[in-house]
Amino acid sequence: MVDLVSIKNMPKDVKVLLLKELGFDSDGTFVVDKDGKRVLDKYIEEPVKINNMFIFPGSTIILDDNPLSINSFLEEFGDVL
Amino acid sequence: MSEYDPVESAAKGITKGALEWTKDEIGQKVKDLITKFRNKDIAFVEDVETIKIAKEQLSTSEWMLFSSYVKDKKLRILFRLGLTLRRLEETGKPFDDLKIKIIKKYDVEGFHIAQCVQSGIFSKYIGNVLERATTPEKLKFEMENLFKSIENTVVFIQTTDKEKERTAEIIAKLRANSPKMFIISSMGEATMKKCESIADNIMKTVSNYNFELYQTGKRKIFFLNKKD
Repeated sequence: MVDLVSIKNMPKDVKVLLLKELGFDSDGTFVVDKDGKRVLDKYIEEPVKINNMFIFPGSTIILDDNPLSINSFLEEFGDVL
Repeated sequence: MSEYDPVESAAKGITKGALEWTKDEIGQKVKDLITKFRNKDIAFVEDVETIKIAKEQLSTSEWMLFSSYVKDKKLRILFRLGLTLRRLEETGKPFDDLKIKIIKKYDVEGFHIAQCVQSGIFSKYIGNVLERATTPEKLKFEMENLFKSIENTVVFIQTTDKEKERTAEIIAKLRANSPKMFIISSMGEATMKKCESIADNIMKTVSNYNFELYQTGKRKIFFLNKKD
């Protein structure tokens, strides 16, 4: 099980720094990959906004933190949080 | 004494920390977080509350019962979403965005499955079928059958519904499919009145079903059980 760290009040530039350390970036609103393409939430198939990120370690899964994606993630990966 | 909550503590810690970091500290602090992340000790999330609500639902008796019988991934996700919808409703939080996302991903039928859980229909249905589901296999079948045939066995009355048309539609479904159980559900004062009127009209026309009414402050649900 991993601990959850809230980034709700983390300054935007620090979030971008965090993303860069993980091999991602932001176009100002959305999370982008190393090629500059917007990262899509695999469950809702929509681009993930920098203000709605859920980032899980391992193969670095980046999702939108809405209830549908979170419940789908928990169903797929089990009791990991 | 309050219970220690690592999720809450972690959330408070990082929020306070990030706001207090000086420019010189930021680089190292981020690197420290990344090290913990790469060691799989932490995950990052904007809103911890969403995950807390999702996890809380896993300890409900409804989920424990349902999840021990039903392994269908789509049904399990929709069930979880139904419980989440209920929690959001109970706490007065908006849930329209989730409703839209469910419909976009799983169509109206999927939303009806989640709505069935949200409104408490599932738990009342289980109470009702336990009398005739004499084995675990039959109980599993009844659970899956409720959701897989939801468009033929459950109707959710809307404020925009026309009484005559809705009544005729339900009677047609009863005659065409002859389900063992049919459910007419409503939420909100205006819809509840309409639901009652529709149920009254059906009772006058259909004689081979017993009607049972479940009512809470916000909901009125009629269970129509087929007579033996």
